[in-house]
Amino acid sequence: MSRILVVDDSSFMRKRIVEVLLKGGHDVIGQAENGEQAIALYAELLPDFVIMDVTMKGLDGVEAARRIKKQRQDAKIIFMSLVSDAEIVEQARALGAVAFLRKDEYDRLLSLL
Amino acid sequence: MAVDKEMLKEFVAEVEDNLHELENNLLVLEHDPANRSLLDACFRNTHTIKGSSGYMGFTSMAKLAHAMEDMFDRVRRGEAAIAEPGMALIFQGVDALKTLLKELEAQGEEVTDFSGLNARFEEFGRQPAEKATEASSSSVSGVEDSEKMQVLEQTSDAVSESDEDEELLSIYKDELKGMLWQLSTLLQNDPAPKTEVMRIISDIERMTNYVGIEDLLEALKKHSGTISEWGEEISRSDLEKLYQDLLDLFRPLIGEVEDILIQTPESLPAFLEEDDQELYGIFLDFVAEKSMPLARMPEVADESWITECQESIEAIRSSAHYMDYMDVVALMDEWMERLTEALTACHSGACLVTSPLQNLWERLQQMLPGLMEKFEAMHGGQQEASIGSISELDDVLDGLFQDNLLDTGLKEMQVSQAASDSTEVMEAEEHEEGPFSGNISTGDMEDGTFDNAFNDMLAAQSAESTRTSMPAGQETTQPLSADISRPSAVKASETSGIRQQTEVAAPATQTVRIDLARVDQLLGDVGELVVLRAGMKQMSDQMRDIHRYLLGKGLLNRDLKAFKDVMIRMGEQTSTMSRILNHLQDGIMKMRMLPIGQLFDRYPRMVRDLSQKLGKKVALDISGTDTTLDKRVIEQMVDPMLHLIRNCVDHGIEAPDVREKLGKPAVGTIMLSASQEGNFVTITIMDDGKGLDRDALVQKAVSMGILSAEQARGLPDERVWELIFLPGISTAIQVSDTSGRGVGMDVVRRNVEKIGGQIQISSTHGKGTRFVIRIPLTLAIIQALLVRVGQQTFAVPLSVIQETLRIRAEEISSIEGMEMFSIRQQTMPFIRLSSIYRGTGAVQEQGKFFVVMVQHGEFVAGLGVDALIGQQEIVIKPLAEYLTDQPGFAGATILGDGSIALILDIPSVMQRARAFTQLKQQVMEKKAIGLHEGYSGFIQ
Repeated sequence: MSRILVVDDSSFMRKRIVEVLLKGGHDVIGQAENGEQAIALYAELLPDFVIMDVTMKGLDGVEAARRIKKQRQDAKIIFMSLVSDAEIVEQARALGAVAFLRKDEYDRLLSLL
Repeated sequence: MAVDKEMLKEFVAEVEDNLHELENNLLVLEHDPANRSLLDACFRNTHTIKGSSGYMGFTSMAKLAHAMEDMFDRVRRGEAAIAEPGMALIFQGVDALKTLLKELEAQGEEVTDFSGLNARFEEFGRQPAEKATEASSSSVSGVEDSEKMQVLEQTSDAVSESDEDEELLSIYKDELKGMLWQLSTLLQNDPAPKTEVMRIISDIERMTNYVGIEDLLEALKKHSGTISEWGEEISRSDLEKLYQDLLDLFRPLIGEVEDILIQTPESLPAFLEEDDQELYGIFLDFVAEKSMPLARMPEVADESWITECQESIEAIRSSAHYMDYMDVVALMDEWMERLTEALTACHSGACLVTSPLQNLWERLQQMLPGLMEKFEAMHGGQQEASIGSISELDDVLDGLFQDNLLDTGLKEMQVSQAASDSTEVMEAEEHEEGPFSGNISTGDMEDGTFDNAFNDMLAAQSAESTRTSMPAGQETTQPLSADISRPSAVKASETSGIRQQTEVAAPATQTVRIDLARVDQLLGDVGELVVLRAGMKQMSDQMRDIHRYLLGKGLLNRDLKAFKDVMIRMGEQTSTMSRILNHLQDGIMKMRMLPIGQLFDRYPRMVRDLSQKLGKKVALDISGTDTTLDKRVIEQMVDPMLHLIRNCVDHGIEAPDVREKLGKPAVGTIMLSASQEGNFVTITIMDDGKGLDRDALVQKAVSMGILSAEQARGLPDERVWELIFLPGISTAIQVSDTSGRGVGMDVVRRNVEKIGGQIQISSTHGKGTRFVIRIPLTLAIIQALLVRVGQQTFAVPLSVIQETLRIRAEEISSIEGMEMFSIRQQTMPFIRLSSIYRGTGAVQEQGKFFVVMVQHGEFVAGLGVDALIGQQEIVIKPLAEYLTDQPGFAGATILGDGSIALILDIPSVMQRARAFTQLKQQVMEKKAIGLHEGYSGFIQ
């Protein structure tokens, strides 16, 4: 059972992810809809995992992840996105994300937590 | 695949929001193509729509959104520009998405085929962007075999790159194996729950749909069809057959699957060998935390304890399930069953002795070594601590109140005196007769001075009993509440704040969508409470009367102390309740309120399209979008506004060359603004176009026989503009492709008036036209004047009342069977409500009449009533269906004493006034040209 912060600008997708996580017995301790919120909440909640969308209004997921990582080296960030732009994926890898998943790969997600 | 209704609703709401935002962004972007953040926003909108629709399996929408997203992306990379014809295509895309969304909302599936549009998008993007697409896809496949990262291609695209497909297929196969394995685990249960099986099958279906293997999808649909006909529990043999069928179905794709066949997960001993002791520790912590009610067993089970236990068990079961501790799961299931039995027993009156449950707790302890230690450590000293702090708080409160008691004792005396004084004033006024203001002020008194005095008294009093009713203390005793309530409020927000709760978001955009019907339901309930409150207020007033009566009878204050205490407390609580109720009512009303921006936002696109079509240049200037308005009012205003704005573009604003010749800027301006004034919102629509044509209007009106040429000549401009609201005028004058489709300005006015609004027009030839619409903030609560006719009480909406007065019977004269009277040189019909609404038991009084002067549009009439009761805020309740056919009533409301008052529908009452006015006009006209009835006359 992990404590998880879910970051996605779509409340619809957020709700789906949260449903899956709760069903999987995990604890969703916070939700954010943009990068700024994610960073603030991360510092406050220190979740085990951050599930991060890429495309968001304001600070995007990759940049938010980078800043979180700067704060805490051991932050575990899993990207879930529809974006498959090689450059973005490469950036995500470079900053040390745990994984970069497609948005509906819930089983894979659960296996990582 | 059946679509979850709730989910569909959420989906529609989100896509709606995004489409709306996208459209507005596009309109701005069109004029500011270099605006990067707008472009990003457009990209995000389409991206989100793509994601959600892909998730729901709505492929047309996903494809279209994807194509649009691609287009924005190309613009971002500088491979395309925001310009025609691309813009037109994008707008078509928006419209197509809207269409699809409507279909999904109505029927749950996509109907219209937009593949043609898709192809055009593809074609549009192909030429310049080919290289880039190739480059990016090859580099993606280059990284995908890395160790920890799992890179996956998106799938719902229209783009078909072969290696992308392969990648997708291999994921699909993996997933499929996983699902089949899940299904095989269910084989251990006999029978297996249908919901689980269905979940797995529909997951497989969704994935298959995703990759688009049609024949497999067909087969799967057949299976899910069969399953849906099975009972809630599926027997092992049925399930086994299903499983084998699926294996057969997928064998060509995933080969033999022996290796994934039934693997019983090793249960308990397994976890002890597991190296992940840490995880076990966390699990144990969790169980220990949750098992408080399970361990602390009362001798006899009561309901609340059982509920508590059930919650704990649910929580433990789900985490045990996650940990794969099947024995614990089984134990929890058994426990749950026992508790359910216990609960039924409880309901039937025979509360169960809990001793048989005792051994379950022991069994759990045996299963989970170390649980007892954790439990002891966790729940040892907690209870005492919390009790201690509460009693401390109590002491502090005691001290605070003690200090204030002396003070308030004194105040109470003075204020209650003041209160009874004001009651007398009120009563005295009630007998006064006179114009509107004097009589209405009875109601004012109740809401104003009297109420204040009453409240002050209660405020002073409330300290005495604050502890029995905390809200009173917090609300009424200002200095005190500052000390007590604030720190506790802060604490509450610290403990229960954002952290635990799921939603944490920007303060500005955090919203919850609520069904309007539900809000209305709440509002109705509050309405009932308002009635109760009025009843209670009456009772407490009566008690004061009794008190005064008893004092007058010579009883001493000392003897009446107990009575007085009750009286005062009753008053206090009524007033507290009243305040909270007002809050509640306000709050719920506000829930119905939406910024008028939501209404205004609909028009920029319309103005853009229309002005393009007409070859005009129009800027739409919108302000006051924060003004809030009842959602129902907004809904009612959509069409009238649309019509007016369309008129502005079509008939108001001139063509650019004409404007330049006239010395006006080539770009015409339409201003749309809103502001709030009291209970009304004023919407102004103004254009700087050519204005109304007086001659054309007059000519039309004369030719239609509405006016005589003579009358027309002397008619002031304002009256001429009013003509446009008469049926048949506007449609005749302004026939064009866009306006004049049979809907005239008369309909606009009717719609505005239907919701209690008014519309005014002013125009200067050559300079422009202005419409001012005044509409009520809400349709649910109105200010009304209560009047009595016979034994019946009616409510007249205050918005239509001009004044109230009294007239003597002699002042009423009769013309052609219609009663009328004159005031300040104005003659108007006199309508006896008792004659319209029969059965009121009204006696035709002689002497003096109370008259309520009401106005509707240009018609004024006096309503004759027996008495004016007072002004009041009333909650409108719709009439029962069989009554809605009856004209004359707009609804009903429940009064303080529980009786019902019907709300008069003034427009229908005024039908009579109209008839009268027409009659009067005829008579006057005949007089004017020297014609009288029976006189043949001549033409000069």
